[in-house]
Amino acid sequence: MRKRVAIFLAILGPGLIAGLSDDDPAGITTYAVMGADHGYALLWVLVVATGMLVLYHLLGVRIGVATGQGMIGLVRERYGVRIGGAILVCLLVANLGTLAAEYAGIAAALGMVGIPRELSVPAAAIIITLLVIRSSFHLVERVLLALGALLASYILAGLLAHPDYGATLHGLMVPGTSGNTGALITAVAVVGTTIAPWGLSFIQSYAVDKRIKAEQLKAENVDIVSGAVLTGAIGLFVVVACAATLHATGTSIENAADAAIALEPLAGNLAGTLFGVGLLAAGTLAAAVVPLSTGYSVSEAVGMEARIDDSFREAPLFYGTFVVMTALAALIVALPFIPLLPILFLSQVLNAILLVPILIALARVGGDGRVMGSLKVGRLQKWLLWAGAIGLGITSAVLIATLLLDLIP
Amino acid sequence: MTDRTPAPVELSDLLGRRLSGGVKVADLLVLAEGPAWEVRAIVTRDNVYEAHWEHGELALGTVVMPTGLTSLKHDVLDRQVVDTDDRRVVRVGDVALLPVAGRLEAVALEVGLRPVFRRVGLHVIARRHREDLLELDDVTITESCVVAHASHARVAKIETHHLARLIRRLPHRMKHDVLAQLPEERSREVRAHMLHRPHRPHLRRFRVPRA
Repeated sequence: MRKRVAIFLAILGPGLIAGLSDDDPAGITTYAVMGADHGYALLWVLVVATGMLVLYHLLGVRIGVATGQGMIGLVRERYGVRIGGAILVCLLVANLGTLAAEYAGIAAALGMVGIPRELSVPAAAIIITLLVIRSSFHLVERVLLALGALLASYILAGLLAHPDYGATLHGLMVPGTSGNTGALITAVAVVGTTIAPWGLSFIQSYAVDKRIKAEQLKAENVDIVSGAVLTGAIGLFVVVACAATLHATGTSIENAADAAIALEPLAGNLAGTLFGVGLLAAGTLAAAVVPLSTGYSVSEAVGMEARIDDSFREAPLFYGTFVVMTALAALIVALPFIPLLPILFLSQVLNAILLVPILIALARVGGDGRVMGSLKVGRLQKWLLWAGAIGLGITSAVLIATLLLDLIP
Repeated sequence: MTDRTPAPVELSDLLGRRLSGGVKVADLLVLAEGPAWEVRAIVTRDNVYEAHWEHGELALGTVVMPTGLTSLKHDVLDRQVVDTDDRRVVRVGDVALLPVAGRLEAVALEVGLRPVFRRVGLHVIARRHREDLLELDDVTITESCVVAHASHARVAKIETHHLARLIRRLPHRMKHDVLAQLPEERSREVRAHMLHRPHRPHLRRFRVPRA
């Protein structure tokens, strides 16, 4: 028993980190807006999104274990360097926008205690970069897991808001809408923020980096399911915190920092503070994971695979990508004259566009016995993967159409 | 005369090239033995032809039914190279081919950034990077990857328990391929070591000593 626990603890990481980093500031904002505008009515969307997260994270790790390759490396091997390169360029732009959003979240969280973004953003960027570059794989992983644990503050904030548990259960189990305008867009945004190309790319590459073996897959599956369920649970508590307070009083919000401030008079100072702490942890975790994911992707695309345990000299491209991405994102957020909104817009559109071919490629690889060997996915999982790809394709199309329609005056 | 001073060609240049008769090269099949792999067949969309090199160009021979040949596009290009010497993983960026006496031979695998930039059309940047080649004598094509094995003498210098640990860290399909490339006795030793000392995942960092 003790041995099993030791093996599980050693394996723990990819599922939790990849899952929890999906609860980034953009995700928390989407959940908060969902709770404030639609109450408990759309909670079932979180169940669907969590199910999809489990499905695709299980697949990503399985492919990583079977092939020893990250997602972009595999795309290059199967579809050639040009398609791999094109996807990489889109990922670079999309990830830069996502990373800027993470730093904007950090700036908003620290702004609540009076630290200006000109100070908070560069300081966070330097600390995160030094941690990743100067530390071993295990230290980086432990810090990321600790940051993930801080997201539990959202669960406490949710409990302090005294939600209606009956309405919560009903919202989780019975699909419905609030009747308010924008319910469909909010639902699509929740799914879109949970399943992102950078997250899928990260979990596969990270599983390869961690050298997870076929015989460890069962333990790893527990890590993945735990990570996804926790991700969904945190989303759930953010939604119910806002539903019990902001929705009940008809308060509208624009972002997660607004939610933290608005929560204080309604659910107490502690709830507001916990919300702010959660936002800072979410931003910091994702600000480390998104450039790591990009570093893996760039290294794989050019055929110079790297690991977090490598030194800067051994993996200059991997760490160089990390540093450049972090510096650019921090600049975008810290310098007031750089327009953040168009970058975030482009990032969302690219993420939505990229998601469909990536999911199709993953589903095809997962079902290919020549690539996966004995780890080939079963028939039921294959059908679920294709159904998920079609469903997410539709939500991506809706999201892109919505974003483009917003441009029309 | 052309054959005596041949200019090297790259696989990526030949793939998709239109030959006489209007057919396009989809793949090249080689006999992967020895230091130079002879290109035996050209795969097009509809058929497989015997390969010739005439007047500085690929030329189609008769239709053939190839057996025992290796596909350069599917089995070599863009495949991971697993190095059992120091475990650095690179990727095959291109295959260097050389026309020799009326036939074409693959002579080296190109790795690194240079072929990547060249293949996406960034020739100026490609030229700034040095050419990094793996000789074909040093590699074996397996189902899952390209194994770049050090010479037996160099592999022998890695202690068995280190090599066992090294191979344990590879994905399970590659693990079998790499083990199969070791000399029989060495492979047996490593397998025995892997069986007797169960792997403790990620409890310690490990570096393979350089030979």
